[in-house]
Amino acid sequence: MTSTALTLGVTALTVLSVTGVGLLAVRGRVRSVEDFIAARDSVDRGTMTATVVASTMGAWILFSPAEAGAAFGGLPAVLGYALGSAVPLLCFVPVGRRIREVMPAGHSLTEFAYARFGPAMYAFVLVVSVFYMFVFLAAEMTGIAGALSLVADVPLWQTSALVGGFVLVYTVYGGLVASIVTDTVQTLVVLPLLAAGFGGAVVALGGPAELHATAVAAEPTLLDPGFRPGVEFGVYVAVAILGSNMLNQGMWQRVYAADGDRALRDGLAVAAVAVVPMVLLAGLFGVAAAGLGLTDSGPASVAFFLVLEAAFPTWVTVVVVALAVLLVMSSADTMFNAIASVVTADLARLLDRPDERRLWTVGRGLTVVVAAGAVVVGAQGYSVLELFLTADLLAVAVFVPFLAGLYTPRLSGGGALAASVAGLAVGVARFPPLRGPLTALPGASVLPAPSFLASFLGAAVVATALTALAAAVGDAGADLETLDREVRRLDDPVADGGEEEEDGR
Amino acid sequence: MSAVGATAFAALVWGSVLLVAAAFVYVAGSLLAARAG
Repeated sequence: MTSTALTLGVTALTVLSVTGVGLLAVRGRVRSVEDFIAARDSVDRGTMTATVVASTMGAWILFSPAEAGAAFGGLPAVLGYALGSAVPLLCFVPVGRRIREVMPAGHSLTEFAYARFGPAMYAFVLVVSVFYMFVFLAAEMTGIAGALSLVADVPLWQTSALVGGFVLVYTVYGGLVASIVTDTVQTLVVLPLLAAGFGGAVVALGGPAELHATAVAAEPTLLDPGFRPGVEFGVYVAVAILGSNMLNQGMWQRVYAADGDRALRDGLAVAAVAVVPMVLLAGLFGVAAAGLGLTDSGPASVAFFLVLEAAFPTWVTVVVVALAVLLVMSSADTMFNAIASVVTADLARLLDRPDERRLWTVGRGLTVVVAAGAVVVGAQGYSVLELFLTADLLAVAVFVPFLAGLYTPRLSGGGALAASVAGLAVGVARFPPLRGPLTALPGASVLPAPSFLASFLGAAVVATALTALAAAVGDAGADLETLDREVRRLDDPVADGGEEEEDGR
Repeated sequence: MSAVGATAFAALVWGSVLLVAAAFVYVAGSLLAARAG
């Protein structure tokens, strides 16, 4: 086991370095609440690629893909995970362009939900989106705290407080701008570390031929691309990732931050290409761990670290600790600011012409609250997998009706909400984690067998079909051209004393 | 269906490592070009 003091020292050095970069780079660049939560039209294509990669690739890539490879179906499960991680980024190319067309001055997905569908659908989207983002954040903090506890016996609360506290410092100060700047630095460090680390690991384990022979000898299905449980896992995890990412405010913020359609398209497309091998390689560690028999005695979720301890000297483990901390920080700052931005943008609409100073206070105060919650949850060592799957199911049921509102004026708020709720009901009926509570209900015996694949696909298919039906039979007559008028910009010139222009836009 | 062959597996592994490295080169190159421009 690696020394606790050494691991804590490396973690502290990593978080201090990133925080220093964040604070120095944003000095004088955040002049308004608009900059704090939108950073509109400021990001070129290289930075766009970096910030999307850093935001979406958290420390989960060191846990979940390896677990999928080791325990949920080998190579096809890993391939599904890898391709599924790229699909939402590719979907955001056309969807992001449409978001910028329909609501060019917007800030958040909930702002769009309210303007397009009204309060009921807005409330549903708000709950699903914030729930998903907070679970993602809690999972990241839990993951890094668990990883450092595993490799160096670091107490959970120390890791959680150290990482969460420093991310909070630069996120409260620089908002989205600080998140994007640090994402860029983190990606420039993480990508070569991953390439060298994974390449070195393969060589240290005897090369691909040796790994292949070991895996096939241990369990031939590990490398069978047609292995049915693995294919099923690959399909439902891809659907789950798609739904949850389309409701990820961090992605919507970056759509607005791109400095044009080309930066949006190129940044997202290259990020999509980059995340596939990252997830694939991480997942193959799980296949290797299972092939080597390392997961027979330990949990599959730490397969990556089991291989690490088996094949590498201590100093490599220390480098991986720094890598994991960077991965967590780049996702945590995104979520801190994303959750705060949703509420800040909504308050700007709900309050009666709040002055900018008040919105600043709210935005920064909310960032502190979200960070404190994440630190506390991360220090508990909970298993967040079921919460993650529940958040994914909610998102899968709502993302199609929600995004359809960008394209068709015929879909009403009631139709979108009904399609979402019906999709959710079908998903819940087949959702394995909820089968226990459901059996207590009358008539539960007629429910079909629980299955993640049926749950996620059922939710998506039913929500999509009912969205199409609602748009076909109804005609809400929404005017997509005027939605932008519902948006209040947050960088209005504010006169001394906080008085604003009459219309507040 | 049977397991993928050793050659395909090696291509998957080394191709992935190269793609990650290529993504780094793209990001670094774009950032340098943006700074120079």
